[in-house]
Amino acid sequence: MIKLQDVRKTYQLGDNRVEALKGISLSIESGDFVSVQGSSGSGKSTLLNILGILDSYDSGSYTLNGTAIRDLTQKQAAHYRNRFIGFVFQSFNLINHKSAVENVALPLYYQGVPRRERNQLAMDYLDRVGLAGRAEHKPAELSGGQAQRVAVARALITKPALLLADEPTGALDSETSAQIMQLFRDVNDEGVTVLIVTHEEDIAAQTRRTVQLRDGDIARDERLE
Amino acid sequence: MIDRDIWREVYSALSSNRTRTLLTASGIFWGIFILIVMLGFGNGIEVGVNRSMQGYASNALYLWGSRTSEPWQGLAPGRAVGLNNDDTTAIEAGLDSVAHLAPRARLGRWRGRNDVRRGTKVTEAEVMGDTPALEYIIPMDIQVGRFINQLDIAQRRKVVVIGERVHEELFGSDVNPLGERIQIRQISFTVVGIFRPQRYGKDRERLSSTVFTPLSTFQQVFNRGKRINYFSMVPVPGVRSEHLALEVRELLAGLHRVAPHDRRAFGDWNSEKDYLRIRNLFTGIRGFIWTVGIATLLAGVLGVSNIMLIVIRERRREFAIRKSIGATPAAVVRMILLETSTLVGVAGLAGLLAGLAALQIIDLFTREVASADSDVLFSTPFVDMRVAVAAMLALALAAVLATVIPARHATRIDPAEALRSE
Ligand SMILES: Nc1ncnc2c1ncn2[C@@H]1O[C@H](COP(=O)(O)OP(=O)(O)OP(=O)(O)O)[C@@H](O)[C@H]1O
Ligand SMILES: [Mg+2]
Repeated sequence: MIKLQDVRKTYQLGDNRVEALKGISLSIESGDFVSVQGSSGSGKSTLLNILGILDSYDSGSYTLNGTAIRDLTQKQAAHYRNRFIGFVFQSFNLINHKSAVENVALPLYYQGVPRRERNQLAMDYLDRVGLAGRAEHKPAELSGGQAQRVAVARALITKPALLLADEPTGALDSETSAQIMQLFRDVNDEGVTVLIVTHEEDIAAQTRRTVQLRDGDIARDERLE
Repeated sequence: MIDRDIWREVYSALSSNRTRTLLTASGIFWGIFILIVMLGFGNGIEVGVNRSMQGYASNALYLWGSRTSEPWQGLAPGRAVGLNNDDTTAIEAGLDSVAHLAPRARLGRWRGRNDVRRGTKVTEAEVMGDTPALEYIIPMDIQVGRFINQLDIAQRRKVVVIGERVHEELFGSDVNPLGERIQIRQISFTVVGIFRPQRYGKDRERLSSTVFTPLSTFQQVFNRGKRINYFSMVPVPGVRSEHLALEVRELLAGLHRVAPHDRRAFGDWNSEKDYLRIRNLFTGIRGFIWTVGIATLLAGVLGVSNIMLIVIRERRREFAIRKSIGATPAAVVRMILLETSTLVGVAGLAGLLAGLAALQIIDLFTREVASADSDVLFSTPFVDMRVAVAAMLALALAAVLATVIPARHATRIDPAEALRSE
């Protein structure tokens, strides 16, 4: 499903060049459950953003589902993000002035799904993450764990083939972390490819494969079990 | 794909920060409000002034004899120059640039009045000797009967056209005076018409206390010989009154043995200069109003553009989130443009309505003094709705254009960058 070949990414900050990725080659099979680990600044988020077509890369190649992801127009990128990829962020990234159900339904708005239909679906997904009772709450009225579950519901509502999560449990306590990980396992069981960035060993241990980054290189890549 | 959904999005975005929305809206609101009120005022003043000028030929020339100031052909300066019928004939025969010539004679002094009687009733009026051409100088509103005609002149008929006030005082306003007689200096005249001035204010009062007799009759019965007091005339189209004055002066100087360059031998006055001055004044006022109005609106539009830039910076994260879940650049731009045009549209409409309401209120307070018969230089303020609507549309367009740049900023937001967790 994912094939990265010698992907490089350099950030230029004034005279400072930061080589965030120094030639990453990585294959991920459809239906896998992968964690990416590494110390701060090792390039985890950069990798995830490139995989999610939120960011570009300088050289190498990236193939997603057989499609070469290179020089896409903004419109094409938006289309892939909308149809194939679901995102979950450490800081939830919900829209503050929208209720939980509106946040969850938003990706379908950009697909042109009628309001009634998408709100119905959004309620189903909220129910699935156990938050049907909080549908009308604004993000500020939700706990961290609840907000992240809303974000997961939003990532899943378009039935993406790939779910990307950047430190999804980074802001949560261990109990709510466990709930979120359970959700990811369920999603993965349904066949969705899941890739999460984490620095917590016990989170990584719950996945099937872990990739260790160090200074923009893959230091270790092992299958667990 | 502009459906109800996008309006919901717009509404929720605008209502999520009321202060900001109100601030943006108020710039537009005031811009339109001020423009409407100023336009209304300008129109009110223009109508008022035009009304006060109504009833005057806009390019009439008045010319009279005075005293010489230079010696000429053995004649000493200081000699009085009087006009007479020969001058009339000479001008009519010699000057093609005169369209209408109305020689006028007056009983008594400049604006002096005389007793006009009917039986035992007496009133005071200006008594004039005139010709039919006067109709081209003072637009006539003959209520009953007719004005003086050529036959009156030719036959020296003792007929008179009386002003409204004279009619009222001697007959009473509901009595038909046609065919009745009135006396001026013991001479009987038959009333053939009532004259109603088209002017306003003091001029109106003066003119309605005037009686017009045929010039030929006047000269005969009041022992004037061939003398007249002054000429009123209108030049043919394309000739300026000032130029005509020079031509007439030159012609008359020859007839009256006056030095060609003696400026003081004749006096003249023309309304064209005043008319042009007032027209220019209005062009100036209108230009001023539009300049101020457009500047205000421009400030409003720049305000919108500015605030939208700030708004987009504030909402960077929101736009990044929207992009990360599949918003296309077009969707983002559409949303921002729609937000702006909604805001500008509603604020502009409110400004328009408030402006019209303000004009209504001004009208309530000024109606008393600005009524149709007064000579106050102000009338009901009004705005041409087509102009108002056009201004609104131009404003909306400008505001939308001003938002294109901020909107493009929004599409250039790098979501990876904006969503980097702090
Ligand atoms: N927009 C940017 N401009 C400049 N440098 C950047 C930018 N984004 C990332 N970097 C640099 O690239 C390197 C990799 O950053 P990245 O965010 O991928 O690290 P990370 O592994 O996610 O770290 P963390 O665990 O702290 O989130 C870092 O040295 C970072 O400073
Ligand atoms: Mg990171």
